[in-house]
Amino acid sequence: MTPFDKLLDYLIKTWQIDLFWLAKGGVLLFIFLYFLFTLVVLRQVKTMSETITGVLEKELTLAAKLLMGLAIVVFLIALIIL
Amino acid sequence: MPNIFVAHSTDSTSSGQVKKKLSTKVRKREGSELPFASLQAAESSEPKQPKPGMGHEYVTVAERLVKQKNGSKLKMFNILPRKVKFETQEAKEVILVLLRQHWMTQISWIVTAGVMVLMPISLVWIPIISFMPSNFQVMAVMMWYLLTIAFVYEKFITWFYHVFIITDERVIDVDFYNLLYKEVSEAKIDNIEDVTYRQGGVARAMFNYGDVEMQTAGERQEFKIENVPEPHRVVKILNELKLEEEHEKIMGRVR
Repeated sequence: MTPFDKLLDYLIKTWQIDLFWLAKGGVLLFIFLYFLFTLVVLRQVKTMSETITGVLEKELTLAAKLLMGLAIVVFLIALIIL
Repeated sequence: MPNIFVAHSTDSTSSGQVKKKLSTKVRKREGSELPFASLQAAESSEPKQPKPGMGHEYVTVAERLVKQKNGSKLKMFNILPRKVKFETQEAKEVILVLLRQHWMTQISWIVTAGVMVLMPISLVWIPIISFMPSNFQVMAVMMWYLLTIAFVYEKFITWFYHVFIITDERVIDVDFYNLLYKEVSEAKIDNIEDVTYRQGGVARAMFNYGDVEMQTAGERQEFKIENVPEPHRVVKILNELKLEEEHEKIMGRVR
């Protein structure tokens, strides 16, 4: 048995993955990535509004900010209930 | 002398701007400002005479479109839209028509969004996430709706900002393929040689939308605006604008 095989054997026998923490981490990671996505959306709406002005840019920017706020709220809810 | 020299109202509406601009255009064509106010008053009381080379009933495209003006920002065929500007717009350039793709072309994502909204309700009958703890089930539904909202919002703004603008000088196609890719292409009315439209298929015939294709003399030889409502009307406006540009060339107006 090589030292590497021994390491693998040790890891398999001793390291147990807690499914709950993995799932929680996955959910939080998803919401964090979603938050980053909303930042991109907000930036893009700004670019679009600069390209064409006078067509609902205030409303759409507000909607993008609400989307970002929603991501933060859901992240906090996930921290509380999970 | 026609009464086009009579001062137009200086309101902030685009129709006001169009009138003001038109009055300026005619003055430039004539080559001089009106010399005396008294002459203007005297001439304005005289019966209308046809302007040389312009015909008695000469009406520009912008003037004609003022009568057909509609206001809604969500309309797909927006004539003389108020307060709308685009980034490369010149000072005296007037937006005549702002077009969006027909809503029928967006039906696939609208239906998908509807299904996505209703999907969690189906969990009552098909409990595919029932193996999870209840708090994770709640989070799964919330995450699903986050995805749905993001999907609808992204599709909507991509459609909403994908516009075709016809001004009195050029045609502009603003396209956002997705959130990270933007393309703005334009063709000058002078450079447009042929304009054709295609309207094949059941949906296009029923809902009256299609593609408008332009052959241009510029670097980009083909210019296509896709799935626009009332393509025959778009072609008519473009043809009228072409004629207007030719007329302006003959009259010696260069901008």
